[in-house]
Amino acid sequence: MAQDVNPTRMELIKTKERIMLAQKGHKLLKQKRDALILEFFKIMKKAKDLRGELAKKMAAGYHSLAMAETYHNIQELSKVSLDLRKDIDVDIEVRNVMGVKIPNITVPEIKSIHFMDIPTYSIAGTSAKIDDAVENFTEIFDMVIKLAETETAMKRLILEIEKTKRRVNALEFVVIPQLNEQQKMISFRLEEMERDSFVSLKTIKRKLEKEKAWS
Amino acid sequence: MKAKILVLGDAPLVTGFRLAGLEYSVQATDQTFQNELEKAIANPEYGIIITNEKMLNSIEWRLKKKLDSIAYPVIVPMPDQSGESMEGDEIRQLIKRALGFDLSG
Repeated sequence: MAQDVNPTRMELIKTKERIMLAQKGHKLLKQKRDALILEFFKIMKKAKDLRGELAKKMAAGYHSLAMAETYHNIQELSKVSLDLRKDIDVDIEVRNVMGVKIPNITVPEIKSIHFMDIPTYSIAGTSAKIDDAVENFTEIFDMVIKLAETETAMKRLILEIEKTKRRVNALEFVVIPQLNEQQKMISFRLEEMERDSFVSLKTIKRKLEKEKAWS
Repeated sequence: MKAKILVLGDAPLVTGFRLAGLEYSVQATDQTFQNELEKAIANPEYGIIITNEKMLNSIEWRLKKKLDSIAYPVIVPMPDQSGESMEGDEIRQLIKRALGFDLSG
């Protein structure tokens, strides 16, 4: 790359400009990376080990569901679930962190419509197995809402951090050194050319003087 | 923005979350999953889609890539009955690759 540039003054100015731009971009990207990492750690603290907990809860949930299915049948279960239907709406805002879109989920009070407060299916004809399954999955659902926000945010952020980091490194270790090299080469060539012409001018002058002396 | 929650997955997942009181659910098989997922994403009423992790991993890479880049709807993969979950590992690996060290040691 650095070899095939024209050693002209114009090119030198251009290269200097490009170096300035690259350094500016590098600084900005570095700031972006730091901001992203900061945000990431903030979310990380909130997320803790939700995934592992969820896997455990899910296992318990599936188990209780299987039990409920064996004591009652699928039709009965779906009938019960029809009675349990709640209008759960979530509020989703999309937040923008340094160009990364992160969902912000708020749930307007699920707890108040928890099934324990208002048992909406008949006690006769259902057993504790169903209660277990319902309770388990309600808990799981609460976790899912929390998880939905933090996990997607973490994934997005980490991908963006990686991308930004790669760019920062590319600028720092490839682009800027290359441009510096180019600048050095051009100025070196220019100096060389200057010396060259200086010497030839001297020679011409000497020759002219010699000729004058002869005539 | 007000949004609804959709459960899209196999029978146990759907039944379970219906017991938790979720109103909207679509039961899918491995064959119909991708189609249903595309339909669900296209519908702006759904803000959170709870799906099956294994099914989510089997979809076409192009759709998967699209899912990775959109912020709305939020898609939550859940482990299935076998209880295996790769999702946590995936994130841990991403962190390791991007930050250079393992946080959750």
